[in-house]
Amino acid sequence: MVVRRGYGTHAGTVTVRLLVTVLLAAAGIVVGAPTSSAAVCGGNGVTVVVDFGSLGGGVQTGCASGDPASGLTALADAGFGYTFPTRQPGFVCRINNRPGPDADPCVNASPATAYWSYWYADRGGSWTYSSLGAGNRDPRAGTVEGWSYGSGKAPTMAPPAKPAAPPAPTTPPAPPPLPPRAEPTIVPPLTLTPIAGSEPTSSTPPTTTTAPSSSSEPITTTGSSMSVTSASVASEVPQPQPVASEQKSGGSTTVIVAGVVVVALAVLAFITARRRRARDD
Amino acid sequence: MRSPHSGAWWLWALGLAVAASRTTNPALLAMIAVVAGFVAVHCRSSAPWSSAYGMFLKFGLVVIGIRLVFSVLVGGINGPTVLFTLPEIPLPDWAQGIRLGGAVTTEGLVYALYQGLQLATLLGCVGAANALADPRRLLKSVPTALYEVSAAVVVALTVAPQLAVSAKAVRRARVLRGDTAHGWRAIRTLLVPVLEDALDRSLHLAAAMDSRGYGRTAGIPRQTRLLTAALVMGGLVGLCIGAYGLLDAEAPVFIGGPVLAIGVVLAVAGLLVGSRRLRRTRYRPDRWTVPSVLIASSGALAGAVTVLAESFGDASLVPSTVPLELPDVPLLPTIGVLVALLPVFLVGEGRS
Repeated sequence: MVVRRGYGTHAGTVTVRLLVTVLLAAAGIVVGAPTSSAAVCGGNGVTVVVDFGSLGGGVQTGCASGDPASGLTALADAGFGYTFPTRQPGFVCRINNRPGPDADPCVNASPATAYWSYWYADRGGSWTYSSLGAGNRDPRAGTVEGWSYGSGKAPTMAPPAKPAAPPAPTTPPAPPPLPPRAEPTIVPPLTLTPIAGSEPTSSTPPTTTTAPSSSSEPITTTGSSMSVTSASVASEVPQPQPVASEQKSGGSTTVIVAGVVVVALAVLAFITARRRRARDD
Repeated sequence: MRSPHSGAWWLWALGLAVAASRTTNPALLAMIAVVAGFVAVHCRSSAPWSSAYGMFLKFGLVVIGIRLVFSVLVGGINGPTVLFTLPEIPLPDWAQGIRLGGAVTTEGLVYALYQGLQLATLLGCVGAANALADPRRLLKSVPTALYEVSAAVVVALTVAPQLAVSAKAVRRARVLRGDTAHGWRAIRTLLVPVLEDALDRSLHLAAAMDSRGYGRTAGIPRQTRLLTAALVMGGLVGLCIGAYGLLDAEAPVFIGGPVLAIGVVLAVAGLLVGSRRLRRTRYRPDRWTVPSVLIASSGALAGAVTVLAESFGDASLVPSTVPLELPDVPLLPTIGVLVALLPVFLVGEGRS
């Protein structure tokens, strides 16, 4: 229920914002992309492109403002949550809690056929496979970072080019994406709830910026790849918003019980050791 | 009551060590450490080497400290929660991927703490075994075929307990002479005499064994000697390759199990051939009494249950650090580890 309500309001604001955009555009007023949640960075900042590939969900983009210290920081700043495998941290095995625990238990590094590969590119350039881990590479400001799920293929979306300085909206392009976005508001969340329930929350909730990517659609030149985005957005709007860890309360009591047992045994051992040392001396 | 078999204590401790090596869960590791510690201080005899446990405990704390300091200085695993940022020392291009200084994150520190705790717990298990088992009596149970390496085995197994004995003796001698140095100065003045004394004792023991005919080769046909050596060596190589094949998921299937089995067969054959060649008698041999068997199996149970839980995919054995999560207590392994407290009820205080 929580997921659905949260999702509903999200979709509502999206629709409202889109309507406003359309109206303003129709009125001939230039609308800049929303600053905080801009999908593609304006001038500076690092644009992060995440291609969910076979996971379904198409390509999502986000913007990490400023100059992030590492690829992982850029990923987190752009609004994507990531997870390391528990035994071999340093790899990235999940972005926005995907793939789910049934596809990849996230204990050891993912297999070479289904993993998150890490790419970088200049704005409007071409993708380069990074020879450094995302934790060690320092992306330059104004470049693009790519993440692609699969067997190490580059993201399907080309690195977005620098925005043309004053975008002149000649045609009101928004109406097509509107209906598909409105429709799934009722249907899909059922499939996603188990993920949200079983996967504890990450520190950065995945606030993916789906709305602005389509609102900035007239600006970007790569029409084909952006259509991928908007089509995928239709089925993917209900991002698994990890519900706060309510079921963890059961776990914490066992932790407390275990802690009490450990402390009791430690005290007992300490007393025994002291008594025996006193007797030996 | 006879004291339990030395081998039983080692099997018990190794079982706990196996459990510790399969998990980085701090709750389970702490449980293993206190169980091993409590059994060690309760069941240890009053023999001089039985103070070895305290030495291992201190060493374990040092290990945790070193692990944390290195994770702060060199980094490694980092998460999104930055605690503070150290000045970063720029490194040339060929050292890419290595970092000195830089951001220190909560996730990285917690991960380092888990890893350090795991190492310290393993040390605690070995320390408990050293405090509980009489190293010289354990040697009585060494298979005959290993006599050729027994001198090396003796030196390896007795250095730690001898170190504890020497430290006590040297410190006592210093105190009697009025030297009451504390802290770093005391360590500096004690270090060399203690190391020298411990090594001397181990070598004396090895020399005594040599003079009593351990590892003798006279009177044994050359062919038998070569056969034994070849069998044992082949067995060990088979064991190594087989273990590697089992652990490496990419290796062909026939390298894992079958090679391991061949290795075991060769090694056992080598031991049998070797043990046929000489007879020995034992004075008051250690027996596998009921308490000894129970002690060994309680430790083995703790290890087996943890390995079993891991093979069933118990995710709480290795809690996630990025994103940071409150570790859950793995129920089955915890119960298994608590079963390893059994020796406390079997062996009276100070009777080991």
